[in-house]
Amino acid sequence: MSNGKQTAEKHIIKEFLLLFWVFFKIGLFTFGGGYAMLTLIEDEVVDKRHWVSKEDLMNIFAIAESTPGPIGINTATFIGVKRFGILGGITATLGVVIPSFLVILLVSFIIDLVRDNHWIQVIFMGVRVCVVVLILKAVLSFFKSIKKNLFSFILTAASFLIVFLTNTSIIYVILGTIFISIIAVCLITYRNNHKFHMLGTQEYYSEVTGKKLGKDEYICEKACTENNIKISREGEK
Amino acid sequence: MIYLNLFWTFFKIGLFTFGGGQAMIPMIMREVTARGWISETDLIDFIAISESTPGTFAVNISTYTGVQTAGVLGALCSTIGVVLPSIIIITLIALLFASLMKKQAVGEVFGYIRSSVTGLLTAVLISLFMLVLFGISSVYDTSKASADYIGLGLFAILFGLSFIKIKGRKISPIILILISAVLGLLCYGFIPV
Repeated sequence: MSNGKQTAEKHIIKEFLLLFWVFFKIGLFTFGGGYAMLTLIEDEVVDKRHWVSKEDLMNIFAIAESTPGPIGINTATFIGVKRFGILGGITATLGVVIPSFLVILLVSFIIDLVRDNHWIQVIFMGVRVCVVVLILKAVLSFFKSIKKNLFSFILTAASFLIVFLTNTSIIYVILGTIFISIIAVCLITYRNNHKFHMLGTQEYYSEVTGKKLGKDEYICEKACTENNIKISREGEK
Repeated sequence: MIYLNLFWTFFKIGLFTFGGGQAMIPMIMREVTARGWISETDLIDFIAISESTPGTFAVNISTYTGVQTAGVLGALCSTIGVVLPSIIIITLIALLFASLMKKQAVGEVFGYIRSSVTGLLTAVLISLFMLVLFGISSVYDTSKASADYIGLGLFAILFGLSFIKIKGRKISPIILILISAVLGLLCYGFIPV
């Protein structure tokens, strides 16, 4: 009995070490930030190890992208938690963080040594221009990805003006945005839900197909979609 | 106490960064350079270094700020600070709220946060543009402005290069940084201004 327990324990430790090692490699071989990390994660976690399915990983990326925190760290934590709970999350995160931590300690040391060298300064005068170009590229891709509606543009312009012209903390801008957009989204959702069905009309339309439905059919469909039940159209008849 | 201060500042930065490393730059500019931990020029240089070293920008910049300000222990504090919000939030989501994240309304709110981050990043872009190419460090003080014509030329060349595709792939940021290093060496090193 105790022998079996021991091998089980050994097995778990081995799995944890493997989790750490996989994310350590990912952290070590990713250059250029979180998004570059995603391809590497997919390669290791889906194709090689089969820890999560490709579809699950796409969902995880979507969540990692929209929740606070760096996207690479978020993804690592999520996959770790999915595998072995909280301890797994911490293991995977440590794995992805430790390589850059060590490399940057070394880099910082080297920077201190060469900072005052004339030629290094000359090189960095060129590199600084490149950083402005890289941030310009980032801004352009952000502009491509945002929602194209008036509310979204107002938020962008307002945040820009507040931060550019005043000394306001970014945190307040983000908190303000969260607050305003929650109210806006609630209002929009409320209006959309009540536009056709609550104005005293006796007509009901399917939200899936747009066809006219009877009242009972409409209520049934509403209940089904809210509970995530899929109705098969063939099965109905 | 500097260690606690580093931890708390980077905890806030980790908590309020939506959408990857670059979205973090506005926060770093406000929170870190304002405290005098690293200078704005150092931050710009480090963005380039971070692009060329392994790991995510968030961990890189927090480690660098920590070690420059308070040694290895400082680096440990700031890095744990930046990572901790992710661990807490993602663990909660993974264990409890995964279905919440799929709701359309939640997605829409996050979409609007992205709009706001775009504005923040644009502000950073313009202030860095003015700082690097015109020597202006504040919008309200333009008296010391002087255009860096070599820099403006480099800017046009690099921006053009960033759209060129080789074998269907755009030039990677690392290669672009290397090109800019060589061009910087040649232009600033050998052209008398």
